[in-house]
Amino acid sequence: MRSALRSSIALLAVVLIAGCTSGGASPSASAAASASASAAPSVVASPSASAEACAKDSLEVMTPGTLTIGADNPAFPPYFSDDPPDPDWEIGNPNNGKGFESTVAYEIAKRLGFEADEVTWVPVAFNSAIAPGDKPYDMYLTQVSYSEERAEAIDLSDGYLDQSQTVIALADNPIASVTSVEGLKAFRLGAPVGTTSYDYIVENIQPTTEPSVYDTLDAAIQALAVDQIDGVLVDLPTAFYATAVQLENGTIVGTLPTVGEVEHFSVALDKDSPLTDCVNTAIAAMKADGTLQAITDEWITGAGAPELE
Amino acid sequence: MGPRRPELSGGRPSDGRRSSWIAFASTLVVFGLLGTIIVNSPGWPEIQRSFLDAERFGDAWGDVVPAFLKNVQLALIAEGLVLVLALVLAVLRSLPGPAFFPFRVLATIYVDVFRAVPGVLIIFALGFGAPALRLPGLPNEPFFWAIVTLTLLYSAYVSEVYRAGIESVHPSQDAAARSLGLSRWQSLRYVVLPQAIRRVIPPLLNDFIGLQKDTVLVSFIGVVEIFRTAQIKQAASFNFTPYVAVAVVFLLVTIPLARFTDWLLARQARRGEALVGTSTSISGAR
Repeated sequence: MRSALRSSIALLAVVLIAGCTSGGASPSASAAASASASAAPSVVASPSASAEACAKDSLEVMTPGTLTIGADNPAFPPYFSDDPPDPDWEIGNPNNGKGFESTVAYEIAKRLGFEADEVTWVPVAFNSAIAPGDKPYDMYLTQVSYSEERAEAIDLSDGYLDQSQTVIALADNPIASVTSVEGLKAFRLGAPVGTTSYDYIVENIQPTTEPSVYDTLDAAIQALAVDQIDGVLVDLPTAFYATAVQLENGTIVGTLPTVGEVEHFSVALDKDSPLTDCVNTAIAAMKADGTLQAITDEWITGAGAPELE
Repeated sequence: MGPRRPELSGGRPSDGRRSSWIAFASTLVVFGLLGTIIVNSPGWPEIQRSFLDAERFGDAWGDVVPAFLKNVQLALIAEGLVLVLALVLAVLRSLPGPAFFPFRVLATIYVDVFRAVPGVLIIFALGFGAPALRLPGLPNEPFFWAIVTLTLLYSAYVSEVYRAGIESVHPSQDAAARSLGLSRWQSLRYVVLPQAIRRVIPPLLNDFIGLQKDTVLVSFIGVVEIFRTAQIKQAASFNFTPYVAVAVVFLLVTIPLARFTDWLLARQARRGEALVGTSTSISGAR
């Protein structure tokens, strides 16, 4: 009994000491880490980054010499093209440099000093790409709409494409003849979780039936195809692809009026990434010299869609 | 098993009180130590902000509790169907004789398949796949297909529980019943099954607790129930406290059920009715 008591007290003491030292060690460790992180790109003080800070050698990328870009899998046209396809990517293949976002990404990479063969694409699910935490990519392009909540979790660059929410449906569904936002209220709508499409439904349309929410856009379109919901909200270019290719007998009901700020797609980067300012500089340059417009004209269809009031 | 009070088993009168004090002190020390280590560990403030934010908990609570109603409905309806279908399967599997061989085989195949396949697969295959067939008369409601999925899944497990119960009833019971002139079916219905089912009530409750948790499967085909409600809040704020709120709701519902199951098991053990024990009943159904 006595030896048991002694050994348990000794164990207690050891554990206590271990707890205190681990608690004490961490502040100094994290202080050292943050000091070294802030020391490196010390030149980047102003919003418009200087040329030296964005030179390829001074960029802090995951793998030195390679720019790692993330995209969701499947990658949808017209943002990515499946010509030619890649076994690792369903539908669109970012590696082929075709498709709107793939072209934009390679252009940004070029302006950061990375040629096409120095770019690596990794598939990253949308939900985890925009959530806080360490990222498996240097930058991410998959139709990430800017929102203030997202901007608190990750860095979002300046916009590279304005977009409007669009309603897609099956052609023989009564929703197809709706001409106003009011008319949508009576229908069952659906959207993937955590998207600005979902926010638009609950904030602006406010349907009488609770909207259905899915893990992925694929699942929402699947539900639309079997008539479990009447309409899904997507961006306009995706609407063209979904109704032409994915849905049998699909149709675009119309684009929704912008409420508040015009939505735009941004490049997503890790929170406080040192690359963000350089990416913004690259995008600004692409806008100034017309490159971005040319890419948009080539890949984003000029065809319009009816506008809902 | 004799009483555990130390004073009755030869210890001194003060030993009972002393062991209570030791237990109390030990609990205080261990939990206090754990708490201190956790609260002082690196990253605790971030964890607290991300998972244990009081304000977000309160806000989430107001939304997840009403959404839980859908899960409860699903669990109750599915459980009712499971209890019936599983009994049919168990009886089919235990029918003796060569004439019933195909039924035994079918029941075995059913149980093997639905214990092997993950529930997520079934919910997608049935929730989206069955409506895609566009067969006339086939319902299209996600809720309906969630009930079907849960019923198919859990009947496989519960039928095995029933079968264990049936096989635990001593064959002399069936023999005695048959010798009294009861037919095979009458013996099953009046003598064997009542004893078998009573014995397996604790494992049945266990499976019911599992079924309650699996009601979140319906969220995969679009229904906004408790999990999806929490996920929507999490996606909007990137704070994970809503998930903790959902966990608390499930705990509040499950823990009383679990304690009740424990109590039932203890009572059965005391009375010698438990599945592991042996019954000496001669007269059959009690």
